[in-house]
Parts: sequence; structure tokens; C-alpha cells
Amino acid sequence: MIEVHDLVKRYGGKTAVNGLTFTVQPGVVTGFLGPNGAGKSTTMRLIVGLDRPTAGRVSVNGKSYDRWAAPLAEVGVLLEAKAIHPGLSAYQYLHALAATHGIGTRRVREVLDMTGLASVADKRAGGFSLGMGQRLGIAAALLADPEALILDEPVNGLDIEGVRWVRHLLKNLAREGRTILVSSHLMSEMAQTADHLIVIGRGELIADTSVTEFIQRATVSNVRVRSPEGSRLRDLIAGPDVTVSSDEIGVLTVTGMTSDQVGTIAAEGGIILYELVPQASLEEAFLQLTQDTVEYRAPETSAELADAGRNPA
Amino acid sequence: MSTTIMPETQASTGRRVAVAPVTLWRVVCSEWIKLRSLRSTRITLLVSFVLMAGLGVLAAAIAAGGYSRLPAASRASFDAVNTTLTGYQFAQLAVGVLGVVVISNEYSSGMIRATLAAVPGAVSDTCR
Repeated sequence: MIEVHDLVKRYGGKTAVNGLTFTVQPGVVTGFLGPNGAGKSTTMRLIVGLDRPTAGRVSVNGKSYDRWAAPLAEVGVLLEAKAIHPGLSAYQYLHALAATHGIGTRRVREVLDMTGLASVADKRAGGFSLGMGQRLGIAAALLADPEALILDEPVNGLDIEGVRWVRHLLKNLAREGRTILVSSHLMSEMAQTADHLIVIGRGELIADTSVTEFIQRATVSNVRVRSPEGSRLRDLIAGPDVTVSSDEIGVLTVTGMTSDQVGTIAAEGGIILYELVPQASLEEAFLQLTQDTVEYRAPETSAELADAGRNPA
Repeated sequence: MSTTIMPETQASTGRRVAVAPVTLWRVVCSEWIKLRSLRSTRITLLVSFVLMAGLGVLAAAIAAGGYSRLPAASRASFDAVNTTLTGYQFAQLAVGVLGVVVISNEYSSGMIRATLAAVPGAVSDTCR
């Protein structure tokens, strides 16, 4: 269990984490979401004592991380892939880490096997791809068979097979009763992996809820409709609160109406439908919740871009 | 090396990997594994050894060759130990380079995070 209480971290005048309180429970995969610069990595660094909080407390399994005699057995952490001396091999790197906790080389071989790195164990890490670097980082996190795992963007750079592997690994570890905190920018990935979500923006807690609840909270949901009579359907469902857009031919995205309503209207009008899909995605819910807290946002339209050019803020 | 299983880490999941507390000796072992694994540090260590021993041998050989021709006063003040240690200043440089290379590599690669996360006491105890 990881407990964060009233956590504050300031770097000079900039507040990276502002009064954050949450608990990461064992037995489930907890997704840690937030736009770039929201303070996710800072929070993770604070949990494992790489930074000292300006105020507040963090405890890992009931104790401050640096007070544990064998910290790696409490929390395994992956903060950045490929943060390894390029001249070290995967085996040498893990062996050096293992030595600090008196872990035998058999376990080093074991995690190399688990992460699929056995065949490149003696190659210099400098030649590793991002995906291999991620696997090595995960191997390091798993080394001491920890109670809790903290992974910062573990699927970044992994191929589909690797993403699936991480997903299964995390779910299995959670099932064993471990505490899993994993950050990601891939919302769709989180929807499939995480059971619980902690969302932060500008260093503050936005949501601490289950994935199902999070998606339900999204106020706007879309309905995707595929029909050969798109323009006729568009006329029928048009109304003051309904917006209809079309990004591809024969497909309408309806906002402001449920799929039931669209289906009924289509049936009444005798319109053939090939597809009728309600879409309340985690991505949408996330964007809605965090739109006010986005730190670095690119203008979405050319008009905004022109605006930004005229008024340099 | 002991493979004690600590009671405090035997939590709900049950421990399958034997883990021992972090001690100074284990941290030294860990650093030594990194040190000996890297080509750059092996070369620097070798260079410092060659400078220290090699220059000592060279200086001793030169001094031994000229010793018989030295006047009595010079022979009396001849310092054999100092002569064999001629290389130390150069070796010192190599060792200094070694230190800089080792620690700057830790930081530039970002590996220092993993190192300090494994030994958080290194930060909190020295900086508190």
C-alpha cells in the first residue's frame, strides 16, 4: 500500500505537486493519469525518496521508503527506460543492483528470462532499443520481488506483444496482492489494464475513482453511426442540442443523443443502420476532466495558432 | 554473504526471493561490479597502475645506474622510497579522472536514480 498525504513539492517558484492525497491499494492495478507536466513523475520520485517533499508525507507499506532496510523488496520502480550506463550489459546492471540487497545471480537470470532479455543479457545496454530498455527497467523493478511496483510509462516504446505482456504481468502481480501504480499517456491502454484511476492535473488531485465510474462521469458521450443514408438520418436527428459530424464517408458522430434515441429515430424513418455504437471513452473522459489543467497545450485550429502568434503571452 | 529473510518483508504475498538488508559492504560490492564491468574504468585503473608502478621502476633503474658515480653527500641523502614513488602524481591524475568518469556517467545516463532508489539511506542519512 502506498499512502500519499498532503504532498507538496516546489521547485523554486514552481509548484509541481500541490497538496496531493491518495492511497494506492494492494490487489488492483491503479492507473496514474495526467497531462504532461501534471506532476506524475515528481510524485513517483517523491514516493521512492529521490526527492524530498516540501511538505506532506509519503509512506510505503506503512513506513517511509528510505526507512526500510531492504527498500527494493518494498517497491520496485521504473522511472525512465534506458537510464543505464551504455557500457554495462543487462546482466551486469541487474547484478550490481542485486548486490545491494544480497540477491543472488540466479534471481538476476530469472528476471532476465521473465522479461525476455535472456538472449541479449550480455550485450551492452547502449545498443538497446527503447522497447528493450523498458524491459530491462521492468526487470530491475521486479528484481527483489517487491510488494509494490511503480512504473512510469512502462509501455512507451513497446511493440504490441510487449504491451500485452506488460498488461498481463501487471494484472497477475495485482492478483497476487501487490500494489501496482502505473502511469501512462495511452488512455486506451489504461482502460484495459487499470482497475482504479488516480488523475492529477497541475499537481492537484482531479479524480480518485474506479475506471468504470470515471468513464460514466464523462458528461458528453458520442454515438457512432454507420449508415448508407447518412444525410437523411442527419436531417431526421437534427435538433438544438444535437451536433452531428462526419469524419469519414458514411459514418456520423452524434453528440447530444443516446444510441437508443438514434436507433429509434432511424427505425421510424426506415433508415438502414450498419453500426450504432455508444462511445464514452476513457480518453474523452480524461480530456474533459483535465482540459482546464493542461500545462502545455498546442492550439487546435489555425485560427488559434494565428491568435497565439498575435498575442504572445 | 547471508541470505536472511527479513520478517518485516514477509507480508501478504509471501516472499519467494531471498533479500537481505542493504549494508555498506553490499553497496561497495555493487559499485565494484559496476566498476569492473566498464571498459572505461578498467582502462583508467590500468593506466593508473602502469603510471604508479612503471614510472617507479623507471626512476629506480635510472637512479641505480647513476648511484655508483654519486658523491658521498648525495648518497647519504638518497631517498629510495621517494624515488620509487615518482609516478604517484601521474597516477593521482588517473585516479581523479576515474572518479569523475564514474560519477558523471551515473548522472548522464540517469542510472543514479536506480542506484539511489536501491540505497535511499545514502541520500537521507547524509543529507538530513
